Amino acid sequence: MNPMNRSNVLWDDVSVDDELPPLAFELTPTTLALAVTATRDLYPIHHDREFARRQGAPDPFVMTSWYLGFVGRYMSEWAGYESFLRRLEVKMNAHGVAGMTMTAYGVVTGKSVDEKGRKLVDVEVRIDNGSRPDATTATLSLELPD
Amino acid sequence: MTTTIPTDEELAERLEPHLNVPYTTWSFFPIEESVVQLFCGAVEDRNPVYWDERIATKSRFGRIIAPPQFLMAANVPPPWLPDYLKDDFDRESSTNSEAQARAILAEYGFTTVTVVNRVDEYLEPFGPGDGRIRRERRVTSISPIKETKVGRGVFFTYETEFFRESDGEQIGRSRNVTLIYRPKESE
Repeated sequence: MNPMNRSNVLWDDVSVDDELPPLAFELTPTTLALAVTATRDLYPIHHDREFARRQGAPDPFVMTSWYLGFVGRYMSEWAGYESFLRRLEVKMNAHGVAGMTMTAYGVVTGKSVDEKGRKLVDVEVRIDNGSRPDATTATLSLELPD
Repeated sequence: MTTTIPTDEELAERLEPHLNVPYTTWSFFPIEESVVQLFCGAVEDRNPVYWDERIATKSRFGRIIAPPQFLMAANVPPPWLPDYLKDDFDRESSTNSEAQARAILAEYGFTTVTVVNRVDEYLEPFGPGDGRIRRERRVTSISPIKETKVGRGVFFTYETEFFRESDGEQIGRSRNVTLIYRPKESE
């Protein structure tokens, strides 16, 4: 069985304005529990409904690390396992709570070679939570093989 | 808890001595393969360099690594400690410059924290076997008090540099902008 969906994407094969295939993920109470387990982040805002509501959130919501993980997955699923994330910026504009389907969309916005000769592509990602198309946005640089 | 909100000048003057004062801490947990795989599971990341030694050893990384984006999770403090360890841990984490800034904010009821924006740079791959992570961290700026959707609070920015224990190499750096606020309901 092929351990990746596709072979490694090469830097030369990528062009600015290339669109990445979207990636959807359904958030369930179990996803939230697994995210808490995996990050060991026991801040109650991520698992305690009463606490989350007292802080002004609609429900417990997935933490920053979940978005970092999801965007990282989106990149390696697109580019393959020889890629390496060099820079990742995320901005959270709205919460992701159980019951939502989070869909990531990405577009290549730049190509460059850094001072160490690394071949980079810049990608802009937005995650639609079903009610807000830019519930979370990410800008990143991904190193690709030659 | 003080209910009067300070003026911007009063607050800035109290916080100023605690800005840009670096302090060093270590992650409580080492980088462990089982937790790395739980992290991948939470987002269903099937990248074989996190899972499959046969592929990972032949990849550019030469071994199983953690997703670089695991860096934040690798640095979460322990959710529970026995009292004889907790006292030391609490003492250490309450005396640094950042804790002192947070304590001042807490006097005005600004205690709920949410991340607004995070930038990570990943300088070297890291993974199971690299031990714990050393952090050099400092608060770089705290905004005047703002009215937000969830309540009144301040934007609190800190920067961290991360080094792996195995060989002391720097593996990354990050900048976090958080909102530290007083929930509307409690006013």
